[in-house]
Amino acid sequence: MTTKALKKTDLEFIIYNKTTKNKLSIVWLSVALCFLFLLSLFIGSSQISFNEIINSITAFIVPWDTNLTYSDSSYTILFYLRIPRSLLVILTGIILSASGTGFQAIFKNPLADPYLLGVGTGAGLGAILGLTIFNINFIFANLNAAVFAFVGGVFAVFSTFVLSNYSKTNNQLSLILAGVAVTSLFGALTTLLLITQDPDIKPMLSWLLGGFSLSSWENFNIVFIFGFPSLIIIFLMSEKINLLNLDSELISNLGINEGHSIKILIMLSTLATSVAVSQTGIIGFIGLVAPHISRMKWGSNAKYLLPQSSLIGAIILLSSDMIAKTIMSPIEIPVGLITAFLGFPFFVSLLRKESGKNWKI
Amino acid sequence: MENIILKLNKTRAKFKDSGFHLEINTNINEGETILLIGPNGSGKSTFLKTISGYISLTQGEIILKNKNIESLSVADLSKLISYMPQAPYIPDYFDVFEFVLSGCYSPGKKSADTIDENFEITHKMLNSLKMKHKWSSKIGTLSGGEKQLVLLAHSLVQNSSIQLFDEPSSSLDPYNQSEIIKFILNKNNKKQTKIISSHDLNLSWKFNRVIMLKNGSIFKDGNPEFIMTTKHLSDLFEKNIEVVKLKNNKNIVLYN
Amino acid sequence: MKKVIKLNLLFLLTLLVLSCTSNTQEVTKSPVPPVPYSHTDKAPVNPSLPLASQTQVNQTQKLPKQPLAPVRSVTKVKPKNVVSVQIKETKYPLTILRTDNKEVQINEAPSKIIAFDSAAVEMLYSIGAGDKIIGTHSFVNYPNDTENITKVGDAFNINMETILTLDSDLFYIFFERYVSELESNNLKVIYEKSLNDNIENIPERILMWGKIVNKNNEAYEIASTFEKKYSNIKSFFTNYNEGPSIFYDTGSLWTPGHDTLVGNTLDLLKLQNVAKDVSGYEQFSKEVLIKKDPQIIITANPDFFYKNKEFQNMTAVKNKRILTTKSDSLSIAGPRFIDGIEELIQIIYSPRFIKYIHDNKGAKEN
Repeated sequence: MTTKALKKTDLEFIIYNKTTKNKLSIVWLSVALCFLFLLSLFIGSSQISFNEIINSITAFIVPWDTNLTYSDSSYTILFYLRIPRSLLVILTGIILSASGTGFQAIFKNPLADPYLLGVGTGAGLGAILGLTIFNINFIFANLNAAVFAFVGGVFAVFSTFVLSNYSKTNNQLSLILAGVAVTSLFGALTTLLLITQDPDIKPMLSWLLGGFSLSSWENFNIVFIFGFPSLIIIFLMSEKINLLNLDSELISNLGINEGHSIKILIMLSTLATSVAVSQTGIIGFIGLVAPHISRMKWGSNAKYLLPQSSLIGAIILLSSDMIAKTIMSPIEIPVGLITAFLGFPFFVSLLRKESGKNWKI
Repeated sequence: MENIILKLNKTRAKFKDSGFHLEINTNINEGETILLIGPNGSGKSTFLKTISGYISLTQGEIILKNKNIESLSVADLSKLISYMPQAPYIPDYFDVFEFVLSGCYSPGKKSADTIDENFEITHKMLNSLKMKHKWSSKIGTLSGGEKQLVLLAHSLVQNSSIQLFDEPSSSLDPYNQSEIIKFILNKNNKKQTKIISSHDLNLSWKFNRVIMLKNGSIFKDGNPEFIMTTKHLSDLFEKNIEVVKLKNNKNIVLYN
Repeated sequence: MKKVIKLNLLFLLTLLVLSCTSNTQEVTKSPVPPVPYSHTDKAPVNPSLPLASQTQVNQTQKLPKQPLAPVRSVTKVKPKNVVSVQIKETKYPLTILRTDNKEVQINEAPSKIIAFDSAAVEMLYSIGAGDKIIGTHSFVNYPNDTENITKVGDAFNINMETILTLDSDLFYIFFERYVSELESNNLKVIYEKSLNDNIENIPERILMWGKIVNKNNEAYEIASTFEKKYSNIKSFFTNYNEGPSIFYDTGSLWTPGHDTLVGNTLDLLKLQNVAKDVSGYEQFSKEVLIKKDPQIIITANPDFFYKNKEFQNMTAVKNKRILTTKSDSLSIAGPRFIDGIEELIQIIYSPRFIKYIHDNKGAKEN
């Protein structure tokens, strides 16, 4: 026992624990994600045989092999529906988790999620506005509808910033309060529009609850173009994000301009989250849970926490989408419903663990 | 050779939210070790915070190595000054090693945990403070005293030219209180200036200089041999305090 | 803590496994061989009939492979004929049986009706009783005169105050929620559940209204015309085994199932509704739609199918058989519904069919 204890405090062991172990975890998380991605290609609302999928993929890779048998519809479904959809699911999972991690650092609270400052209700209001006042036909891959939602989301967070400047102290607490104010106002406006205009929201229903059912390459491309650069910058900021968890005095002591970093991080997260929400609707829970799980398992160093929670978020969302596709086939239920259901066991387990003293707001 | 590293020219700063003001006019030399004492609310924390740049002045200026502090960015300041606050919030879910390692962060440089040296420094520091065995414990599981040691380590690994400590040993047991302050002072480097605020008056003779703060301004300032007298201390704290010289020429402070 | 994560993963995995093993409804046989019909604007010509003067025919179209019903031998299917007895005058007091099995007594022809139902409004107008409507809901827009009628609510919410100020002598509603509330305010309420699956009930309702407002002749005209057209169509299509497969899109792939009025219409026209297993209205999945590969798609938004790459290999897209109806007659269970059916016949099969359908019976169209 004593030899083991000695070993555990050795520098080499510590270094291994802090670096190599984390890097390994990222590797096997990626492998798990790849596996799930491949699995998701075989699952869908229509049943396509294993051979058809394999043949379609092979045909894509080696187009000159004409001995393969597969039907046009299988090929189309695979390459125009299932692949872009799964990629979009993964990208959305990453965006939501990374934003969640960032927000939890900014607000020094493990219960913060990407919708805290109103991007969700903002996007919803934008979408309903587009549908009612501007009569945008809410069909997916319609740029107009998505633009409304995107602008709405960004505008909501912008309003939150402006509002929080009214506070004398202008710190995280004022941001949260402003966020709550904006969320309730925009939510009320949305409800008002729904009641007075009474639009046919059936086309939007799947979006409102969070769904990938009409996803195609166009949706993925939009989120990728606008979301990926933000993601990259967020990942590059990971050490700063880590330090944002600390007390204000410690942060400035280390040379980080806290207000500046917070603003940039919120802007990047909002950009990415808003574009994701504009395409896939409001999917709750991932941004809250993925960083949490990752932190419990591998610690909170943001340098590794960011990629780990992103991968975990992508895995959870991809699994949820697979369930959403098949559990009531051929009807697809919105994936937001599945993730919401996941909330229950998660919070129950949190209760049992009884964490959470010392949460500073 | 006395090299003035900090000049506080007619500086005024506000205490937290109270109406009191801090008024300081003084110079600090490179390599000095200063003990800051005074009754509660006399401005010790505010004094340290203004030097660290965390609080801005309402009047006057602070010149740091011939540059006005206002003109320096947060990043520049952090390279020169380290500040250990009194009871800051440290997240429960950080572990000890990570937290201390985070002190090695320097803006503009490579990530702290990619530099091997930093791991060594952190490891050694934890060892010196006898916290090595708790390297993987979460901050939330530590006692008050242990947290303070970890916070101290975080501050010390920065190894700055100017080091400020706000009551660094207040949560420790009596023996360790003095041990820790001795530890800080023993790592004395002629080029490093240290200012420590403390209530442990018996340690004052270990310092070059003692500054007594009362009601926001300097009451007495100088070599402890000269200013640590019964009269001064009693006036400062408005209580009966006696300084007694012992047989071995050491001084001791007695409270009645 | 590790236990907790394992529990959650297990939960997820169970859901995943359960869903993978659930039954998926699937097309087991390949779709009906495509009807070779190339899309043109010109009317197809049956060589045995004289050429119509206005159409120029450059190419002969290949007509559907299924045997066209020969003019004579029609299997007589006797339609359920409601419109048999023509009532001249309504005898009051009149008792109406509501969908909830309560009886309502009408003592004289009402003249201030709040008709909270698009179909009822159209029916009243068609029998010349439109002037008796003093209130309706905000989604009624046909005929144009309805613009001036007071709106007492939207699709599913009523404004009680406005209703009471209108001082009506009859309130007609198509869903049950507000019935008791209305009655407690001393309103005379007729509640008839909206028709959603039997087209033949439409003429019945028209007659009902005729009775209520004592416009029986007018109602008889409209109802019997409706029914005649309907039975002509029905007999005509009895001889078809299978028409082309079809997908009816009401927006974003929401589609009517077998138990809807539109669904029944598609069945009537022997069209194979790819959504026939659906009940009510549901959002169809893109994947299943691609697999079912309907030959015809009816939608208000053809660009949705033409512009999205995933549909590019579909038969309907390739053959440009994505059709739009000019009117929304099929969305309301009223007198225009039959016109909607005829419009469908025209755009899907051919305008000539209408002539055949009614000429065959020797019934003169108005």
